[in-house]
Amino acid sequence: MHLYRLGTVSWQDSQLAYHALAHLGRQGLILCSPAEPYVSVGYFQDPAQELDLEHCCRSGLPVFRREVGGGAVYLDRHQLFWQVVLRRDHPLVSLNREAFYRRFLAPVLGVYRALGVEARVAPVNDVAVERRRIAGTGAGEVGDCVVFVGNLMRRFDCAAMAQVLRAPDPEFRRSFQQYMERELTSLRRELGEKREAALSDDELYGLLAREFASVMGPLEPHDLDDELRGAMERIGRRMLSPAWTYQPRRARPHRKVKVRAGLYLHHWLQESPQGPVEARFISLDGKVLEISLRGPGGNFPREASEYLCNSVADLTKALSAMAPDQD
Amino acid sequence: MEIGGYNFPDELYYDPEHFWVRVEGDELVMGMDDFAQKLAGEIVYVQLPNEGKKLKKGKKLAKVESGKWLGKVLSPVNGELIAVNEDLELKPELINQDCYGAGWMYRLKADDLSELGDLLKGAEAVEPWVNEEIAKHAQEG
Repeated sequence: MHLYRLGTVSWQDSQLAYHALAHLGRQGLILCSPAEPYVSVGYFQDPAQELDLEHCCRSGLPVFRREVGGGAVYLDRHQLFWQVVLRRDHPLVSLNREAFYRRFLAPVLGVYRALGVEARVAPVNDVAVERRRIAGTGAGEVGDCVVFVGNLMRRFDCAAMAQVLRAPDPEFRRSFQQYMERELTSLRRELGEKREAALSDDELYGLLAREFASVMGPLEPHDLDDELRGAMERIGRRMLSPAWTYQPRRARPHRKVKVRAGLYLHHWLQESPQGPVEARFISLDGKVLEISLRGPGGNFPREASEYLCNSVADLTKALSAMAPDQD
Repeated sequence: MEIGGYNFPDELYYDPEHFWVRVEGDELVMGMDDFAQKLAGEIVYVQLPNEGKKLKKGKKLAKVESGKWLGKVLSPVNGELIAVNEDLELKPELINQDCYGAGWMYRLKADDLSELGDLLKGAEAVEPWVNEEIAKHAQEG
């Protein structure tokens, strides 16, 4: 199995390399980090619905739609990417996604633990320290391969992430940022600024390579060869085109953004005869933690709740199930 | 029939990629089988390609996302896509709730219905296959 230790690469190459490897049907592990910040959205996401595209454009942030699941994420050089590419018929690839994630997140846990950070898998495929998320991951079937990608977070810029997401209003964006600051962590936060800064990227790539080899078998260093570069160029023509990136999808009736596994911020807008009724709430593992309701003119007429609950069949049930001591 | 806790209705054909096929006149209806939907977890997105799409047996028909896993739906036959289950656009979880009913995915027109002979049907064929799949995937810990 090949190890492509690419180091710092252009933002485009940080995505195209693993897509190209998979489309060629070649297996391996890629380790890299993007030189420039950018935003990556999941295959099924419509950037116009998920992102504040005006902000991205103003800030010179490119947008990439990957052939992998999951949600929109802000990526920059403070995140080191690991990208596993295996053929679908590889014995380590399983239809049992939980088992697959446990197997391939073990090396990531191993790296964090080697650094003194007690990380664990937060189902389905997040990595967390206590309740705080410390890595994002995603998987997909690309060509005849399965790819599993994620990052080692040296630092995470919650403000930049909150800015790139589309929000119904500034209050929602502020709330999202506050939750992220509370619920996300990084090597810098866990180890302190001095210890994190003392870790070189090389050292971290070395740890990742060692830990992944314990699952994938011996990894032989390999460069981006002509075949791979050719495939990256070819795939780039398609995946860097506006037609691929900005493919529209049917509008979703409600806005829901993920903070970490199980924790979401929601914004629902429902028409009633009195005017629009708005609900914003935070859910944890399917239960509502906090909710704010607003009706026409700032009031919330009793009748309006019916319209809201019609569209949110489980809202009343979720509210009644809410534990009184939840924060 | 119930095999190892998974439901596999007798009257359906099964593709080894874990999709079921039902014959309705000269059309086929397909969806994800119970084993696949249970192992996949919550389905969050289903791609609904345009009707008229030409299908090649064993090649990608569409994509489905569950648990941040973007998987492929492979066509069980050569033919054409004639309809999609529009309800899955906003309610993909129908596949988890009722994979053989309201969670059907696509309606196809096969070029040659005899290709169904390549699929699995009946307890004699389905049971050993499912048991093997359970041993291979579902019991991993």
